[in-house]
Amino acid sequence: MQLTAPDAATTPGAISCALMSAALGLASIAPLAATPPDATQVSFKYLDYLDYSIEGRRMHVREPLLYVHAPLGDNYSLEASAIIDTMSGASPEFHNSLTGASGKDVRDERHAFDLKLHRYFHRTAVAVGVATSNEFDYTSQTLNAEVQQATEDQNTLLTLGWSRTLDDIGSAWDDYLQEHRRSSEYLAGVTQVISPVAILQSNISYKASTGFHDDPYKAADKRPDGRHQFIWLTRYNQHFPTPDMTLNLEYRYFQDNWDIRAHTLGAALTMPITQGWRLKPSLRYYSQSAAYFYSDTFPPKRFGRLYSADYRLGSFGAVTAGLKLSHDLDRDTVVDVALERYEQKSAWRWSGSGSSTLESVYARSLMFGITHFFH
Amino acid sequence: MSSTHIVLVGAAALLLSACSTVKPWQKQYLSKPEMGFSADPGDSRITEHIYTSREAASGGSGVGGGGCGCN
Repeated sequence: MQLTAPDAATTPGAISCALMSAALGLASIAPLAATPPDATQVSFKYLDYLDYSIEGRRMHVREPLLYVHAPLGDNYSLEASAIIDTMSGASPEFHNSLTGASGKDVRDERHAFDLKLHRYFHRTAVAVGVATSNEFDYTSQTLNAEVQQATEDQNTLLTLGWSRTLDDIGSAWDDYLQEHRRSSEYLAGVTQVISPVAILQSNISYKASTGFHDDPYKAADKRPDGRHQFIWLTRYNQHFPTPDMTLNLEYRYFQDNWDIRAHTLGAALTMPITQGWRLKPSLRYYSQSAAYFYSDTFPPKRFGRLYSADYRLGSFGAVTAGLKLSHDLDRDTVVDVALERYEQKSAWRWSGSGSSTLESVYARSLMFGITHFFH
Repeated sequence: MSSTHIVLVGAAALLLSACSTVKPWQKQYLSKPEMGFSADPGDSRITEHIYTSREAASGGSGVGGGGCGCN
């Protein structure tokens, strides 16, 4: 039966609801997660990523990913993914990079896996998961749990999440370096159906970590032993039935006790171009202020004090422009290709000072994917 | 909490409850993949890893990703 939803998105009531929810920082939900998937989803993605600077430094990353989410009976599902990163290139000693090893030609490989078991009750879903990431000089292990509760009308979903991560850090330059970091993260979120064509989600997260936060590949790098991060993420999805387009909007506020304040704004529009083909242009802006112990100059005035010249702790702005093309091969199979260009400049920061000597960074990523649903 | 705050929170709760009037048969468009917040988990994992390696801020959409030596 073909159902026709009223175009409530443009009514004054819907707009006021959306504005009110956004003002309160609440979230909304899509059809709720309290039921298992009705088909097994298998996705394969392949990323080819290249970043470079004006000076000619380049870092190349190739990353295949396999993702599976399968129902197990009527009340369970299992979600898993596996990633292998291969990084190669060269980077200068005191800035950068995507891999820990910097300062000379580097080659590194990372193997990451995650597994999550979901249990579905009436209007409630519970999940427990593990994740691991292994490099020759870095190991990370995470345990996580999540509870979701939908209201009777399935228009509101409450989410609570928790994770505990243990990181073990070594160095290719120092066989005796064996450091550790312990992190706990808590998340509370609300997803709210606003109208038949609009949905809002808002999550608040707090992450506390203690232990080793320095970068062992950056000379004189010395950071605090503790970090407390606060993150507020709000996402809003709006569908426009007449042109059959969907708009995704996102804002994230971030702050930590290193004095870093960051704002992220994102927008994407999914639009059909012809039968079975969709185009999704996207734009993202990011800005951060510098950590209080960040310095543009090397060497530091005094060794042994808190200090980092890592540009990622400096003040800068960044813009990503992307385009994704998707095609339905058949009812259960989708192929896609996505191209993104990222540019990071000190002058693009929204607020904050410093980092005037930071070099600009450019990156492009090309991603291919195929997804199939097994019924 | 002042009485003004209580009034504001109460009014907001009432207005939000008014938002939740969407019936099951009106959720045709909400079930479209692009209306979900985890429409493509594979893409999300890869994209988040890239940004984590480039920027100081990360996270917000969930808990439980493994860390890496990239940051």
